[in-house]
Amino acid sequence: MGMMGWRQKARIFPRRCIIFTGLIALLIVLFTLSLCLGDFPVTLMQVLAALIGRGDETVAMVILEWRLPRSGVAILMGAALGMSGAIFQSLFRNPLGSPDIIGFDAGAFTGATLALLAGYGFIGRMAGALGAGALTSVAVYALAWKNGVQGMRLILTGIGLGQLLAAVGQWLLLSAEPETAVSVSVWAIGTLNGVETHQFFVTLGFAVVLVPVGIAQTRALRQLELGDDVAQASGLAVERARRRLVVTGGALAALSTAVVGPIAFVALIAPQQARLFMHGSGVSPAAAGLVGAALLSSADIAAQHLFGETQVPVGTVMLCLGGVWLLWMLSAWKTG
Amino acid sequence: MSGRLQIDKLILGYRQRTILRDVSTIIPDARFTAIVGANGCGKSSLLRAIVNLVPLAGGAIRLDGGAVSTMRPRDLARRIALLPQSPITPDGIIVRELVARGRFAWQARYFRDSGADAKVIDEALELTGMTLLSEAPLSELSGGQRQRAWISMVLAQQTPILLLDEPTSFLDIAHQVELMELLVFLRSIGKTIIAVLHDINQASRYADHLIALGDGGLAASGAPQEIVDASFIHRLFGLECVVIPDPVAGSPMAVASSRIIEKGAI
Repeated sequence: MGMMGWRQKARIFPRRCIIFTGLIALLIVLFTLSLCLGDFPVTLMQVLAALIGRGDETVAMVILEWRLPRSGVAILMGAALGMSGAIFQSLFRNPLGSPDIIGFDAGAFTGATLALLAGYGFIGRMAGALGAGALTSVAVYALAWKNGVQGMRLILTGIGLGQLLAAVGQWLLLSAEPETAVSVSVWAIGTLNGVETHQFFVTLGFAVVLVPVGIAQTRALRQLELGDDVAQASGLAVERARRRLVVTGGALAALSTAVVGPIAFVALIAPQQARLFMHGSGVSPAAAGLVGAALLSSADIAAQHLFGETQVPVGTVMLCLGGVWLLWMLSAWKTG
Repeated sequence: MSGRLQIDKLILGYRQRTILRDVSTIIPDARFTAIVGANGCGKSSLLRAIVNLVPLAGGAIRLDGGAVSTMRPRDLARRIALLPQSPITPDGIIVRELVARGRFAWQARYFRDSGADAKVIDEALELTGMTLLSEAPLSELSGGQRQRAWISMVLAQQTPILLLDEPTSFLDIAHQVELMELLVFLRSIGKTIIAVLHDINQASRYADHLIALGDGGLAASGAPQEIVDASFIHRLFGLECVVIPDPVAGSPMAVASSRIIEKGAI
């Protein structure tokens, strides 16, 4: 019996270990690649030297001050979006329940736009996005409340409120000064162009707090997937757990919107792909985070280097990728 | 009659509508109790109230003397487990994974899968005969197997008391018998079973104790042999019938004598 239990366990858990290791390895490769590529080509050895504080100063500056913040932010924000998507999709038992669809991004975007129009810089934008994102989560939750909160009601409320906020955002843009409007528009697609060192550190600080908080709630998420009755009867304080998850997922989504703008599709695709890789049930926030990080890093490498001289916003690349991915999923779903 | 679970002057209802009033009863320990009654009489509500899923409008449900309504979900889940009528099966979940979720109340808050858990999960699978199917996705199992997987999950919760809401409702007759025998077996190893059953003959045959709900309250309670007769069935379901001994088990068995449900029935 014990033997058999062990063997059965062995089949599923090593698979997960292998996939986690593989994803981490992929991330390291993507990260290194993004540090090497560019107008000023750098070798792997130079990258390693710069990372440990050795080597030529000019090369170190290119790597540490120009490229590292951007690559780091791509990984952190990809992870944040993937985790946020995993939390919301699982909470709503619906792949469409990702934060970009249910209005959190729109809320954060409106807040950030207001901050930018008022003339605030990066910190103001962060504060605006986080504050408005949180407010939107609370509003969606409160509006959807009816003796507890149900998945579909939350999604529809979120879509409705999200559209409303998007309209407000557009209206703000139209009434803004042309130069501000242009810069806000580029940011509105989602871009990693011109990410600076201090932005990387601020992002890192938030991620260091939010990512473990998200991962720690994996088990609550698993119980909620069994339905509220079973979750509660198996020992989870359902409403409290759900509130905590909504706040964490909302904060992760708002954080990424604040830093890089509302990048579409990462939060939708990463959890679904992670689930395909992992087998078994449910979307693990950790796995979705890793897939999200790999996805956004790849997309940003493509955005920087695939289009020659033109620097394409990473949000545009993600829009194309996402569209193709959706069509592919739909055709697989139809035939499968 | 000793019972850790006691229901005292319970009132259940939403706003103006009272579902059950003044229900007082004791659930006998290590026995199989069936809650029976007509559709919509409050059977499921009573079951859900026991695990604190429904707010009480009055009275109390006590477990070992303490009010269930004041217990933390985690503490309650270590003593009472619930299998609802149609629980949600997460996409792609395999049997073992589902059963492991029954360990939630026993695990440290942020860690999981200790060796002890694995042993309990193995035992829960063994008890329901699901060991060989433990790696199978739930979606590929038959209705009977799926139900046994769910029962393994509540067994992994290691509670002395098990609540089941109409556990046979989606099963064919052979699987219904199999499941009822599983419940009788679980009682024989010391579990207190409380199941909502809609089939009164099934309840009479397999349960030791009946709680009959009707007319917005407790209609009767006791051993099937003592309380099930034609007037009991008529009072509960408004159906004319003849009650004869079950040819196999000897328990009371109702056979309808009139196909017309009388007006003014409960």
